[in-house]
Amino acid sequence: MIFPGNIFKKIDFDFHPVWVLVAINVAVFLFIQLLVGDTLKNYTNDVYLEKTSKMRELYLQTLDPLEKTQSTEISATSIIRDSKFWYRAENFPFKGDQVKIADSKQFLKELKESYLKSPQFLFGLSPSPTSIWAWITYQFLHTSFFHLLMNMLFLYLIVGVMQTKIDQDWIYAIYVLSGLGGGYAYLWMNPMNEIAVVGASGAICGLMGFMSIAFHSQNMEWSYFLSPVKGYYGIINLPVFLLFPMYLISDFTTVLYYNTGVQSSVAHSAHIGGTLVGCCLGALYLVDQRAKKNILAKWGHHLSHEEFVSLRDKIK
Amino acid sequence: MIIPELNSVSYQSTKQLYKPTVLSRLLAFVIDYFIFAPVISFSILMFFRSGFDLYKTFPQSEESQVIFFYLFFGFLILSTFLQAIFITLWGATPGQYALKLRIEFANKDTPLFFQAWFRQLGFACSFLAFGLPLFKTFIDEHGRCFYDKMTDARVVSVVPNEQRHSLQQKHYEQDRKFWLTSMTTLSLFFVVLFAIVFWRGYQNILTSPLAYKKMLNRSKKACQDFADLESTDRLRYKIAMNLVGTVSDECLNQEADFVLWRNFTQDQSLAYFAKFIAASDNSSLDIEYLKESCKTDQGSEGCYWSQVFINRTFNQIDENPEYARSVLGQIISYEMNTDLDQQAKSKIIKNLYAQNKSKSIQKFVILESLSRQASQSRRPASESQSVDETENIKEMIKDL
Repeated sequence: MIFPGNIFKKIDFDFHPVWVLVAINVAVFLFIQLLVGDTLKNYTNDVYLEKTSKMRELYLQTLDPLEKTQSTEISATSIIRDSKFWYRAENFPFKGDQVKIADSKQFLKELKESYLKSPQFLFGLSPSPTSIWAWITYQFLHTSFFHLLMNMLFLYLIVGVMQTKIDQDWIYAIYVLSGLGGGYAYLWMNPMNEIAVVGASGAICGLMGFMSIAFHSQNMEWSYFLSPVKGYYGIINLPVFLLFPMYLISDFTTVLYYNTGVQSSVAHSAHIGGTLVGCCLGALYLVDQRAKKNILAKWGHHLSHEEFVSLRDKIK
Repeated sequence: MIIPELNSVSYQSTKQLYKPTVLSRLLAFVIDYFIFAPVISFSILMFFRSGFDLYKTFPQSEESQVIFFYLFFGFLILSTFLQAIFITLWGATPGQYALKLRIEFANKDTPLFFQAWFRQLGFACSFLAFGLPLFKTFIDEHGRCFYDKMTDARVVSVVPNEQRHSLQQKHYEQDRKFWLTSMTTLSLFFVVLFAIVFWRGYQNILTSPLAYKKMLNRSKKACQDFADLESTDRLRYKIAMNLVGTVSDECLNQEADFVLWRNFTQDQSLAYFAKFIAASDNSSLDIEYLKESCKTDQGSEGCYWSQVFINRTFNQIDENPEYARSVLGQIISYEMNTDLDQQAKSKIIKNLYAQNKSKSIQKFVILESLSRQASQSRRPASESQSVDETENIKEMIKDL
């Protein structure tokens, strides 16, 4: 395995952007888990599998001939996410096992009611968001501990590298703007996907996209793990631009394969949106740096000493 | 352990080349894999999009198997091709380049690109033999595998190992010995593990009822009974034979689902009755199915049998001759009607045999005849001499 950043370094608890971002994410997770509660946690896999066993039959009946030709991949998960089906199913005259149909409709109704009360809908980003703040709140919300853990690990590693290279204002701006880009891409590619997207992964992909453009020619520390034997795990210096082929291109591949950009529970479309915004910001950062250098070279002698030093310190 | 920033290492740039450590080569391979795998997957998906669509739509089809075969070779060719380009331009793959390793080719006559491609193809083919040829790296004096010898090439390091691993030099002096020991132990472990898993799996296939059930379901043999009958009759026969234990619940359930979800005929009440019969003990829906069978048509056959089961009026089945004469009626009557005497039961058995040429029914009739005889004296049919029915049974066996 190879991770970007130094996973083995001694943890430094100083007030850095990395801890600010991690703290916000963890605090939101704890707030949701302890105070709000998740209304969807009762839907275990067993319940879900039993109740959705004939959902595909129902879904196919609601499709018109054109929609049928376009639907190549129909799984219970994708059906549950389709808001169009939710509305159609309420009054559709389904043919078939009426007992099972009534049971499935009841399940859908209960699931919808639970979902509308869940933190995922209240604070997540969906085609019908509860407020404009959902565009921000979704970036800090995680539905499970593992989801939070993986995102925070990558956030810690990437921001840990970035904070040595750029100002913290840039880091916060990239995080939020990439998150917005990720949310936009998710909504654009999944207009009928009623399930809200949550998580920091779009923003983290944005941070990686930014790095791979802004510092493409530099080397950074990568953590490698080949074996638990001493000497076969450690740190290696490799080019920053490798972030793109190693971590970001796989999202594009997945979106090519799954048109919706959503595979199982991972919103790859949001990753792509975040990556593209991050890359654009990386290009902007390069332009900004070059402009500052030019100004300093051409007009530096007209600046006061303080202005000169201030501008010079902003060039990395 | 920290591998220093090799680009900033101040080593004397000489033409001297060194034998690389196994760790460097392994790490270079891992880096290459992490770079090439996503890029090539993306490229292949771009080029063979329609093939993937076909695979997604019909994953079990023969075409999909061919497509899978093509994609495998596409991946192999493209990955080795890209690596060969890098070797031609940089003298190394990206991972090797980052770790200051180079591939030296002795043959200067043949174009470098083709030598490099040939070598990389050999390297890729090593994995078809579970990577075993790669073990030669540990044994060979110059760390050369068969693909290196094929192309007269060798991997070299342009950085002395002292500088590369100055922090743990002592450890790497024992590099070869360490790897040999580790890999031998690991290999033995995996061989034993594989043998155990293989043997357990084989035994499971032979003995497990679950495996047998899966096999039957996969080949759809479980539900091939009465396949030549019309839908309504097929459902009746399957309910009847399920009641006597010849047709499985899964099979009956499948048939009922077919009627309810696909056929949309008038047999729906009977199908709901079938769903009730086939429902598992812990299903919360079985009573719902019983109710549903009478919801649309009170006079339907399914509703009639549901009422018979609810009210336990098995001794009144004959009052409705239309249903009583059907196979289902006769079987229910035979199995459930406690008022029937032995003579009446024999009559039903004879009727069933006379009216039906289905093998399942014939087998049932034979078994029932034998068991009724066996209750008097435990003898096989072929040896019976005195009972009048024995001749009939022999004839039935002959027909079957």
